[in-house]
Amino acid sequence: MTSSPSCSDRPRASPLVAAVALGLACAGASREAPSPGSTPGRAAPPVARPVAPVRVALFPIENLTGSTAPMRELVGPVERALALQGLDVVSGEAVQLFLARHRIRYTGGLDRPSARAAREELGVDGVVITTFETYRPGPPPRVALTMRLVSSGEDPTIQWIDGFGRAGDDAPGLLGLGIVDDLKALEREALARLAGSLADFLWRKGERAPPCPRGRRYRPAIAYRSATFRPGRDQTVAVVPFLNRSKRRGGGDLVALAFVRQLAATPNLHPVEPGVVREALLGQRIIMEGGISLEAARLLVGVLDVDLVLAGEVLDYDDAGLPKVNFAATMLDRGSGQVVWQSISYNQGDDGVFFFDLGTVSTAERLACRMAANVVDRMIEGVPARGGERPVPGAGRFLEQAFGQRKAIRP
Amino acid sequence: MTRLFPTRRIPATLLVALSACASAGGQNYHDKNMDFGSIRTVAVMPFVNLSHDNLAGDRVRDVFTTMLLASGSVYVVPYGEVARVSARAGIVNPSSPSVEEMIKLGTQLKIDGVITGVVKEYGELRSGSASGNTVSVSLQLLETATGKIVWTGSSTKGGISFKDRLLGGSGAPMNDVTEAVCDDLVAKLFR
Repeated sequence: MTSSPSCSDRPRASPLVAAVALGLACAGASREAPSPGSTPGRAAPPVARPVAPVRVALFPIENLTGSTAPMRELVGPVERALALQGLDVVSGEAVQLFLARHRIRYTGGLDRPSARAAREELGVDGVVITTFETYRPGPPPRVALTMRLVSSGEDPTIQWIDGFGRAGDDAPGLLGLGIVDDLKALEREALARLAGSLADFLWRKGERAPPCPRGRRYRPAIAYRSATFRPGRDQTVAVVPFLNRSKRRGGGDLVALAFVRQLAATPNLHPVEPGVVREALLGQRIIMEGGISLEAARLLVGVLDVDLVLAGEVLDYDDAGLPKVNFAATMLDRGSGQVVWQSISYNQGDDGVFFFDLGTVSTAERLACRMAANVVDRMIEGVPARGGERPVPGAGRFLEQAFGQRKAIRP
Repeated sequence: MTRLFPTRRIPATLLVALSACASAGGQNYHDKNMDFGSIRTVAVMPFVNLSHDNLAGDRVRDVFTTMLLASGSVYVVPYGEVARVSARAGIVNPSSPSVEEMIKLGTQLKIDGVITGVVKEYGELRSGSASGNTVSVSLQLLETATGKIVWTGSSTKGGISFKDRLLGGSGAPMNDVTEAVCDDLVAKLFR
């Protein structure tokens, strides 16, 4: 049984939490909640982050590093990082039993039956999906990962998504004092940053999908946008795994994930949760040998009820040494069944770098993210953001559900 | 009178020499009886790759297709659809379909033309201490209604420049050379 998200049904962990929760629930459309304990015009004193009353399940980590990595051992640190930010995390034995009961082997996404079951059986508001993209001891050590929060229940949607990528020698500083040699230190930094970003989103202080930095050098080399494409309208996009022709295992999934993240940051294009797309691809027995066909696109559009399908191919995804990424992106429209966007992007980590390696991008994840961000920017060029800020579609509803359900979960 | 004769010859000789040099950059053929305005939708078939880079065909095809779309003159059918229909039509070698296969493709994909191509070179050239990237591509456009070749074009770009030889540079990046070749071919197609 779930309670209605009225102003009177608020959590009561502490007066401070209750006050913040009340404010959030009653504020309605207001995105900017005041920082707890902060006074306008004065630096806020360091206060403990209040407990966010959101219960999430942590799925086993997806390994897209292209090699072996200790993914089981990483669940603990991820759980601790989330718990430190005040999230109520369901992990370990409970999640393992749940996965075994429903025979879920793929943990890189959340499909509809799993989302429904997670809400009913685990009593969670959302599921945290973690994907490690690089995990190398080095030297220098490199860590890159993407984390997202997908709502549970009938309609699994991406509520928050963010990524982090860093190499140990990114900021060597004076006499190399800033070099990080320890992979664990990078891992801690990455998890703390992402957990902080998630907590900021839940407290409506942060963005739903913090976008990657832009830069002219990462713009697509050649791009085509159809005159019939109307990116100003609210449209849903199914991002299918890109065809991987690179030597890097999982290159297609990595670039597709980078696009999901960047599309989530746009005001009008709403990406479908990759787990739901995968469910449709498997359910309809869609095999994309030479890329997405019109028939496959039509099937996807019908099953997922989406407006656009984004596909593509990855020719290079090299993250050993200087990163190098080369991909083509194609978007098909539901109405016309035609290509409404096509672009080619290729970059390497030292593009546009002239002095002392300043501006070098050290991981392929960061490079792909910048390139995807620029592709999406060109896609929606000329579309004004609503009210001058990036909206958070569905976030208010998700948070209200989450806050409202606390009563049912914690009697 | 006798002095004027050789001076009149000079421009003609220069013209012949210049036209000979210009034609050395790449060959081009346009069917004079073809109405190119009638070709609105094309399929770009996988390119035959004669280079050492396994992905050269895909790399050039991607760039050429996007350039062709970006030109706004013709619509290019997505690769996946071409691959699906080729497989369904039982086309043994999609890189060089026969006339019958092409007509079948034209009917099933609802296209007016098919572009096939060959990547002859895609890699680095070395000469002494200098090196440079070079790309050489030949393409042909076939009308699906008749299976006739209506356009062919070839282009070679890159290589080792005088500057590279003098200063020991490594020439333009491969992607830039690929873009230059495709740009040249698209220009030749619409010339």
